[in-house]
Amino acid sequence: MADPGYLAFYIATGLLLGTFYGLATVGLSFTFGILKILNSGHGSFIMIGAYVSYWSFVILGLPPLVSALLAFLIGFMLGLGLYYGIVSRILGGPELISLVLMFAMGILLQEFAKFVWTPTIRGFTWDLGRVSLFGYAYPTTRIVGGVVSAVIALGLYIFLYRTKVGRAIRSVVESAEGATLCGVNVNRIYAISLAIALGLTIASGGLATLYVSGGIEPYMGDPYTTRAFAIAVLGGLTSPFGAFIAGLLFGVIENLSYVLLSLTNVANPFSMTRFIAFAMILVVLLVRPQGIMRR
Amino acid sequence: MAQTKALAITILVAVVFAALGYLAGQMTAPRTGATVTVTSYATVTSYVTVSRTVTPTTSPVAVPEKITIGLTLGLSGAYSYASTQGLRGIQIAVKWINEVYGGINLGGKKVKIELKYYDDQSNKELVPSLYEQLIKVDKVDFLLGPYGSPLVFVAAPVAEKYGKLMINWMGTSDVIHEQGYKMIVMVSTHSGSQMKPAMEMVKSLDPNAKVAIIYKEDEHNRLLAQGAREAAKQLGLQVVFDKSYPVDIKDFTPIFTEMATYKPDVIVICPHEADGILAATQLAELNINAKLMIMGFVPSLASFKRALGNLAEGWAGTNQWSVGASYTPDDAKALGYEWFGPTEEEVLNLYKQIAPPEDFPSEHTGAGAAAVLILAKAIEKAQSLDPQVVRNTLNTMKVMTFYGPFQIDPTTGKQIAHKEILSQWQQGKFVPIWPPEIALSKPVYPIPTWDEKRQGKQAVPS
Repeated sequence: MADPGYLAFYIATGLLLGTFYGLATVGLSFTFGILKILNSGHGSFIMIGAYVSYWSFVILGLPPLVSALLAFLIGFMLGLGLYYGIVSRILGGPELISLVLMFAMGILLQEFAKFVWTPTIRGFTWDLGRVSLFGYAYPTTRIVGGVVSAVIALGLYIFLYRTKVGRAIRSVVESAEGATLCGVNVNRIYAISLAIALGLTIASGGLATLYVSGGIEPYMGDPYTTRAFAIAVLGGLTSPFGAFIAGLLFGVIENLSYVLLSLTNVANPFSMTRFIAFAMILVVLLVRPQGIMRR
Repeated sequence: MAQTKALAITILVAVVFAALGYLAGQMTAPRTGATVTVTSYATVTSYVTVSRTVTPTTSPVAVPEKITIGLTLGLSGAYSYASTQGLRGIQIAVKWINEVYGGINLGGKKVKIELKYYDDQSNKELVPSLYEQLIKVDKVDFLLGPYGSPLVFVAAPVAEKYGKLMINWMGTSDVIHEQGYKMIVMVSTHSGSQMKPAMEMVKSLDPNAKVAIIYKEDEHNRLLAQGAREAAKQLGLQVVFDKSYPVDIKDFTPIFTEMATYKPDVIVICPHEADGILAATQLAELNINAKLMIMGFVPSLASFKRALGNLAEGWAGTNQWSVGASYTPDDAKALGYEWFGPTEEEVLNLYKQIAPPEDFPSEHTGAGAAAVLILAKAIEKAQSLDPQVVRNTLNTMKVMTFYGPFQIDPTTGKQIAHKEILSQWQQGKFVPIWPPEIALSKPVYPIPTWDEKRQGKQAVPS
């Protein structure tokens, strides 16, 4: 345990896992921050992304990092369709309505996946080798996946803070009425935002296969929903970039708490890691109820 | 006004989605509450559908038009894969009895079986009321358990309350049969005994092997690990790592990294389907090697082989049953059992008729089929539909099906004859390697490393 490489491995793999957690949560924060919709079916969209990655790999031979782009496009189109078909009609209603709607959407996607692809568990092997550091093997796919996730998050940041549409989105977050008075087409901003949110969520599902390349099945998304909600709250709920940073934090906390619990000789440290992670979130929120990134 | 309109539209949309989701579920899996008479997949024979009153103690036996067997299955939700495979086995057995065997011989007449099942959505909250429905409303004659110990735990008290005989096919937790229930009978090996043959094999291959045990935190796998731990202790094997992982795990890196520091010779993993495949792929990713890797039933699945490709080579899996490891009428004769049911060849032919071509039967298929076959044989021997009479008959039955031997402890209904089989992926085939009496190949030990397998090396027995 005194081996510094051992601790570094846990921190580094926690950070890499965190990039995925972060990206998987950005869409959730986006939807809530802009449209005030809590996507309770979040995990099902991640599951769809995993299937896109699987089939792209099996049929087209596309690696997950490439198919994530395809997954984004599918999510983007789905978001546009969902907005103009359903969501635009319920905006302004009580939040419970959107909660029920997205919950139903999640179940629909699960049953759709089961109907089309059967409940058979699927998986594939995409291997780029390993990078050896201090005697520990880091899977290259995870490193590349982490870099890609970080680049996407950075791209989103630039989009929000350096482009006209991004500025319009932020103005809608501040005040939809004020944005309308300034000439912003709020309806279109909502549509684009939902499209981007679902695009990012489904793309993150594609990147999830870097971790769960085995174990793709219709109900795989549920655990991600719980984590994404916790991470989104930690990040400030309405702050997409905060969600990404919170994802990194969550990944590291999860991994490091395993190491700490192992040292204390707890019988089953793994089951306690989430307890520690969620307890730390509680502590953070007691100190900063607005989340780590919101001012 | 606008809010009311929005509310109305949302409720409408939610209802439509829920209905679509429901329909999608129904189209994939057999219909909820569907009465399926598996006499023909093209046409349904027109059985008499009026309810029937049986007076079991009268002699000669009142012969009904049909015998109804009811159960619930997790055709959606977490247990959908295993339940679907189990249902296929159940349907195969019903079809074999109705069409090949001609029906259960009762009072000189051949009586067909009718199956009635509900989708319990892998949700234990739903199971008790659905079993009440099967007993009180549908008035089924006999019950099969649902898939999975957590669900059998809540179904068993209902069967017991109404005095209905329930054949438990895949709720393998030992604890179910330690509750004092009289009407629950098991056809498969219990969780606590499933890893024993694996440990015996390890001992015979490498008496000084260091063993790591990793298990999922659920009832079944906890018992599986406990069995492995106790067997290892009895056999004098050294367990160097013994820890659990959460049920909704998505990344094994923390636990595998710690385990690797103990340099185990043998890694034993006690998982379910999704996490088992995930564990194998992540061991490969992290390049953690051992001389032998053993899992619960997962390596026998087509999805395991598809996900890992050549990396599956050398993986051993414990199974209640797998293709190629079936018992035969000759085995029955040699071991002193009465043979009943289809041979493996017949099972495979029937399976092909109801499953997608890329699938092959799993242990769930075998267990589901065995449950129906054992029940049918017991009814035939008892010449009665009285659950208590059939239950008493099961106490003395010593029958072998393709799934293996059947004999129970009369008091608890626990299975005492069926044995877990250990198979290993060798040169692209999942071959039985233990126990020696049913082995078709020798175990490969040590197995090729991940890097060797990536270069195409296979596990070849010496």
